[in-house]
Amino acid sequence: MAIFLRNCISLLVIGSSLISGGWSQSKSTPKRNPTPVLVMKARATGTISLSLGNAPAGVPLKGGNSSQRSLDLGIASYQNGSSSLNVGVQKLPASFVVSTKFAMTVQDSTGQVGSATIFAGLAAPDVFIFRVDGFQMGTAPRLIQGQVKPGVTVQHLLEIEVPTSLTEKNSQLQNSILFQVIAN
Amino acid sequence: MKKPMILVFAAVMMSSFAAAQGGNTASGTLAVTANVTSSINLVFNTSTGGVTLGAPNTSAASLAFGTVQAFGGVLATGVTRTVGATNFTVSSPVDVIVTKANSTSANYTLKAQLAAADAANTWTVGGVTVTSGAAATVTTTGAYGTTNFPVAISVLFTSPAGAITNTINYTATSN
Repeated sequence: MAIFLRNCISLLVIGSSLISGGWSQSKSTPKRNPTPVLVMKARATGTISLSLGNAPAGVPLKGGNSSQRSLDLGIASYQNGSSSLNVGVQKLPASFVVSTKFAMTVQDSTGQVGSATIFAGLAAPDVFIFRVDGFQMGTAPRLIQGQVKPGVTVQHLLEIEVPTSLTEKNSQLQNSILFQVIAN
Repeated sequence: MKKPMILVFAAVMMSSFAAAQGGNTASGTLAVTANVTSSINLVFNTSTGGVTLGAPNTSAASLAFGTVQAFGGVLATGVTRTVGATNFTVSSPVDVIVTKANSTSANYTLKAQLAAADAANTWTVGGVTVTSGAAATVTTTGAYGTTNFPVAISVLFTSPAGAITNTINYTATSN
């Protein structure tokens, strides 16, 4: 019983010390820098970022903010394809697929994140079918890549399927793909 | 006495690290735009009962009537001959397939024109005479899909024997 009480007291003392940054320690103890626990937390929170960039065989992205870019596929049609550089068009019986590539890099300034998971989804529902690396996009985020190494740039394929039944009235394509990266 | 203290300290560290990792996220946005335009397509195909086209289902097919003559002889499969008072006509049905995409167009206008002048023979597409002078309107209300527009050549009895070669250029325009 005596041993149990001593253990409990030790627990409380350490816990209090960590929370209060060491101020509750004995006056005889030399003042120290913030505890390692707090330092680690400050470094890790918000250290990863996502950078969207150009792929060698892709349409050049626009926009200054590396995590908020825009991609203009230009004019495309079923019969005439696309005149834009690095935009592919594949005909299907009742639709055609416009495609290009872009690049993404997960960056970690601390080097403490071993890998990350990337989710993607559409900002708004659409009559066009968006696919990233073959994964069809909806408004709910879905996993597109599970083990992304920070610092490694990976090319991704963007495909947009356009049903031929869409007419001039509703064939203006404008949407956003939202990416979310979570450290594993 | 030191052992429990170390364990607790490690547990607190792991807990803090996990909490930090759980909030370690980033996001990005890729705005995508494109302008999808309407389009139509025209291809030729072999029609039932007609001459088998070369390069069918393309927009650059070929139609060979073979050896024809006003009287007698054996005509190639799919060739129909009509003999008149001063000429004879050979014809074959040809399927013209016009397809639309991303368009509200109800129908199309089809025009045809000879690539080279032919003063000796008369060419028709869908019953409409086609020359090299100007594009002739074959139809102004073509239905999208497959339509049979026969191609015919009328040859005067007075024309000398020999090869007849020409190209008919078709143009479909959505209405």
